Amino acid sequence: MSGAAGWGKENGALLSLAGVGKRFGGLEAVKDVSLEVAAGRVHGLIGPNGAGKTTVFNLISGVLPATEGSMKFAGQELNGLTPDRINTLGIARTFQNIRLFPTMTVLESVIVAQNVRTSGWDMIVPFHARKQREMRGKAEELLKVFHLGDKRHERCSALPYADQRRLEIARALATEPRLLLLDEPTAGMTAHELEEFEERVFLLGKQGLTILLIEHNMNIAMSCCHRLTVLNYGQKIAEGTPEEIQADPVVIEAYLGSPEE
Amino acid sequence: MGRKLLGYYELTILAFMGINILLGLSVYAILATNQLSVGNAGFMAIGAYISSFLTVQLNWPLEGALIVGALAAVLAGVVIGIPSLRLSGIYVVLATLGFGEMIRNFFNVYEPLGGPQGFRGAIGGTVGLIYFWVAICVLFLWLLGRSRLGLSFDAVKDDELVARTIGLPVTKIKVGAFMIGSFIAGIAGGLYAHYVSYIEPPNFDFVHSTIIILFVLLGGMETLWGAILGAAIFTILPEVTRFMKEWRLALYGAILVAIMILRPAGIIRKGDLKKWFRRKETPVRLQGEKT
Repeated sequence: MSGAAGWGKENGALLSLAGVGKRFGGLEAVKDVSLEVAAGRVHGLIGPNGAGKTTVFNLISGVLPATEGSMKFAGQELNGLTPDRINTLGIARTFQNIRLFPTMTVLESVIVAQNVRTSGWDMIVPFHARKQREMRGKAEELLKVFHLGDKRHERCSALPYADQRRLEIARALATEPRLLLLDEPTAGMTAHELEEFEERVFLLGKQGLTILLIEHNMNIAMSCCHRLTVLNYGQKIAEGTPEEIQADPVVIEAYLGSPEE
Repeated sequence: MGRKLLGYYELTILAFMGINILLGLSVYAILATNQLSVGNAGFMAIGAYISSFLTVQLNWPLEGALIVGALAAVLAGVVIGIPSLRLSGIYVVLATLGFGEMIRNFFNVYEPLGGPQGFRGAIGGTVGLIYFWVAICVLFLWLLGRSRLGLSFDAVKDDELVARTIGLPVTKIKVGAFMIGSFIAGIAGGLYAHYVSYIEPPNFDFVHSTIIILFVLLGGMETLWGAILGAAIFTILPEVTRFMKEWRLALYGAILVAIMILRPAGIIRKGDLKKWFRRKETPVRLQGEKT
């Protein structure tokens, strides 16, 4: 199987981009990108620095409006929606340069992200109320899974680097997304942390979460992703399974540069 | 007959302190979503004039007039809040500054409410009534700070973009903050008018808005207690330094510079009260029940 064949809507594309472009004045940061992310899969987005990967994330999450094309999530057009609306549809993201809420505690920052369709009344009832305690319990469980249980009362800005990366993912998951966008989540991780991350992605995939992953570490990209899309200069230059991508001469030339990488 | 515990002079200072606390809280509520409003004297003016008009001209009861005056200020808060959402940082400051001056000038030229002659006759404001409203507003903001909505305010303040990507309706939250702040400022204006019985447009000028902001900067902008402390200090300080005459102003400047150097976030920071009152190391909030 090559190209996008076999990943049509009927087969469960959760997210599909068609001819998406983003122009900053005269610069075309993203040009005519089409891709489909199948439900329940881990899809990798790779490419050299400046290839437009993060811009694609910004378009999907509504941080920037696309200037061309269409982006559909479970049949719903995303272009023109606000980031908060897109999140409530079921898309959550992390940021390449970690962005936590510096003055909030770990637990607070997860609670505030929780996807609750509560009434306005529940919004203003203090934390002692029963409903709020339930939410708090849920947030604490999530933090335990991410080994942040003991640090739940610390300020986000006081966390060590690896914990900050974990917390960003935990916060995104607290919104209960169907699609998780991870922007270089493994940057700066140690070998041990990389292992933990791989495990985590595997577990999340097993729970049915769809993941779109920007990754520079080729080992992680190859081992975690079911499918890879390669961008270069804002355009898609290849797509396929990790094996296909590894063997693709266009990718090797444009992205990897030399074979020993 | 023993002399009264508090004379007229002390009572007036106490009343102004209460009004200043309300004004400090009104800036604090808006600042809690990272928007600096320099127009709160404008909201105060609306509350003052509308409520005075209602009690003096239409013989409304004071409480009803206060609330309607404050709601009129809220309306103005929404009108100014929505365009400010498209702006950020210094531009919000300029927009609210322009708004405040616009309101003041409106009352300066609008003759039915006295124009430059001012508006007199509003009576019935007492120290008790002022502190009743202080108590209500403090309680409300305190509860807000311990609610999910309060956390949303913090998230917006810390990082607006991220707040959006985790699904928070940032636009509504920011307009909501403007509404809360303008309501409190409107109440403060109504109480002021009914305490001093005479209001004129210069009471609500830009300098007044700036002084209100100083309450919060001095006391601390991270918690509502900071705004309260700042307002109290700025009310009492001019009185206790009266003997210094014009040198007072130099002293204020020196105090402000010192605070900004020593404690840039203000006298009270988030979590300070817990520390000072020596409960064990507890989180900033959410310390409610033991785990």
